[in-house]
Amino acid sequence: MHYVLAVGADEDITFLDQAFHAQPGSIPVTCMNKGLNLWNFISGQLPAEFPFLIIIDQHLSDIDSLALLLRIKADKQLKLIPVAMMSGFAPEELIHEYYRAGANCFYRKPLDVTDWHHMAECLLTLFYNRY
Amino acid sequence: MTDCLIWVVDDDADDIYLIEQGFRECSFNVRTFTPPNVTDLIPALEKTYLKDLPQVILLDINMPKVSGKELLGWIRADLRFRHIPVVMFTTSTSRNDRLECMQLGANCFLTKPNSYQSMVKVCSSLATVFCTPEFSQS
Repeated sequence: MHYVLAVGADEDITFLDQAFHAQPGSIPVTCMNKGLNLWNFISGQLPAEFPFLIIIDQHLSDIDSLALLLRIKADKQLKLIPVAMMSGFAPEELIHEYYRAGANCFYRKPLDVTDWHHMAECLLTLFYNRY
Repeated sequence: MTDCLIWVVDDDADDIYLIEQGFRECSFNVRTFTPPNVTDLIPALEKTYLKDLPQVILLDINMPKVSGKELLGWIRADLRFRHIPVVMFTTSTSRNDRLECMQLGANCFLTKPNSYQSMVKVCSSLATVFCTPEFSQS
């Protein structure tokens, strides 16, 4: 389906939502502020209802984001949904750990509105094949 | 400006040239490298292990000597290189190819663009998402 599922801090999710809405076609974002809420949501979906991209903040308030990623990638149906991790900072070895766990990409959180819009455009290019 | 090393594994010289041109248009300082022989990908990775591994590998699928899917499987099976993002960059529009590559562990599946403008857009997006210089500073 044509939407993004995202989990993270309220401020970041707001920027993310605005950035995707600003794209041509206005891509909707279903927002969660807790990792467990995202899991409960996505694990209850039928494949036809899956988002085309999941975005997870590396720092979640309730659960470990790596554990959430592993849970998604361990599920036979969910594992094919691309998962983009975002973080303000992460050491290289930690990023490698997320890639080994199956993250499709791991990007630095944008710093301003223009950067958020540009990142949304890049993610649409790569994971929605919009080019 | 931190540079970003991207390996382009493809047997088509024209495609390699276009991809390299696409990256030159980016604001990132992208270095591209193409193994002289696609079957030498793993030995080439072993040679640069711990020194200068790529931040992302662009991998074609349909190559005469070895399939990109096979190479992807080798990369994902090797613990030393498993963390390297691999983007399938192919002329294929086959849904089955996409599904199979994603199941094998590809990070992304892209069909090669028809226009230079789209190529630049794709290359810019790849560099933006996969080349994160701030992360590489410890």
